[in-house]
Amino acid sequence: MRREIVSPEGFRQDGRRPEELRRSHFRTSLFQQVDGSAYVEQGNTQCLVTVSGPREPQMRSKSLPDRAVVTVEYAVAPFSAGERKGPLRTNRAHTEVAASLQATFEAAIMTTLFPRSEIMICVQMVQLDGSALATAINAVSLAIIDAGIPVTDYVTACSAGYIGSDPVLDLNYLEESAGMPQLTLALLPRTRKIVTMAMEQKLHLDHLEPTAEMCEEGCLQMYQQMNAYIASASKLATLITPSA
Amino acid sequence: MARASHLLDSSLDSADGFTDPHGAGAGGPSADTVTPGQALDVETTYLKGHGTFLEDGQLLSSVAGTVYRVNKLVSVKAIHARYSGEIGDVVVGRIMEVGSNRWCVDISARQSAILLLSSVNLPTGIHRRSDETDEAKMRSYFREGDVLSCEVQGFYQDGAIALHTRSLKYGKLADGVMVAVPSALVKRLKSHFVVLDHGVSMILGLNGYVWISRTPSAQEQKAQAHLFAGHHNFYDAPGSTPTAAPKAAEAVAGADEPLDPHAVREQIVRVRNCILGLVERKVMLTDQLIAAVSRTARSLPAKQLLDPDVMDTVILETREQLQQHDE
Repeated sequence: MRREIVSPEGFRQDGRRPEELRRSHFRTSLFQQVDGSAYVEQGNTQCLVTVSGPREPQMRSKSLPDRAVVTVEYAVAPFSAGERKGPLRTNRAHTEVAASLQATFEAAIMTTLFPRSEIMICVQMVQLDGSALATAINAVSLAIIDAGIPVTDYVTACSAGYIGSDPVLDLNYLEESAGMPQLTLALLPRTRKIVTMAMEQKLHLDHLEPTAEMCEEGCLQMYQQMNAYIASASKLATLITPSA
Repeated sequence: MARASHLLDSSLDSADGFTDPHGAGAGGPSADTVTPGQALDVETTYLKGHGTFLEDGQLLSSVAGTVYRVNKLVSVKAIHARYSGEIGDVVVGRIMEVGSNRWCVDISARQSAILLLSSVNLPTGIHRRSDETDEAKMRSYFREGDVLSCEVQGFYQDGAIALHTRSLKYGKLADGVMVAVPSALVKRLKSHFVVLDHGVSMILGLNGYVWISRTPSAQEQKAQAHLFAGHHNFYDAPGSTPTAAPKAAEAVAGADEPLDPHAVREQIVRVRNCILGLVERKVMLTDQLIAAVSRTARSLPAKQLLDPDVMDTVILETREQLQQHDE
């Protein structure tokens, strides 16, 4: 028996409404040894990101004379999914995700301010429960801001699927594996420019617009949450000092 | 991990009773915290500094941090941003690489800084003859891993920082502890060479590297000054005398009785732990603040200061003392 993604009462299996995001949780500045780091949970999807740089490139031959090089490493922990996957091998799917993360963040980071340097982003998926790419993008965004790297805007991402005649926001693993078309959208929320758009499976063109609109709405909600977190985390403490 | 301390945050709300810690009037941070993409509430005639950018005639922040205003220049400084030098800054660095006529120095900037062989004073202060024998001996002056204090001399075209050590104040550092803190938390001071109590000295590098070591005794400093006095420093302005060492010697002249080396070592560690404690609470570091906190911490074993609760108590106590001192 196939279980319904959205019940007749309008609820999903985890109790959300179709247009509802999962609960998310952020933390930054987790490590001393890197310039910036972030941990993001969206539902049960968990992602840990570290950012080093802008720094002297480790391979000098790779440096560019006019801007910084952004390199991304994407790894998925063996214990992250239901079935344990053996030791990490270079995985084509992972390389693809890394490339798309790199393109996404080169659009937001002001790389021209840092010629001949390198910004290294390491993404570690700790637990997978759907919308992995979106969670990774949100986590990288926070880690970059934590590292004090100048960006034109946040990059926030969100996924949505399309089932029956309506889109559903922020898919979890169960919904993802139901085989519905899934759209992941990354947005610069201030200008509402789309920097990344990834599509899994076929979706009728007529349905793309409502799905994309829902994604955009989700991205803007993520932005509100992330911005509120960053605003509170970047305050300096004040302490009385003796008058000189 | 940043520890949000209620002890400190409370002072943010109640501005009365607290002196403005950073001297906002003189280019210090204002209370404003901004996030990337947020419009800075300034007129368009303002100049855009670091951490800002112009879009559609509006000045926006590109980082999350504190807004600084110096006259018409607006900049935003993020806590964890890399060090972007200014000429004349005192920095502490570590040698990463020995090149043909230069050293590459890590000063936590976005590129390795460069210290040319021609920008150093060689030991004993003899003027360098530029020849190959000198270049061959470079590793005997500074080796990979050596820590040194130096000054920002200028910038290269690509933004790399050029350093120099052409003063007695600068040079190789030994027998101490280096702490790396975010450079945005080091306040610009009159002097970054700080003599603390109980035989401990500190170099607060503006790049966020802090060097803590034993204060040399008056005798040692005299001996060093004497060594250099014989060979007049070529690079110094004519008639100038090496000043830094004797001045520092006077500062510790009162403490002539030899200090217990073990006690000094423990005090060094105390200072280190106090700096880490303050940084964890995102407090701007100044010489006086570090001196005050480490003075309060004096009664405690150095190890205990790593306990966040103990550090909270120490900082709270220090704050009370400083308040009383102000009144």
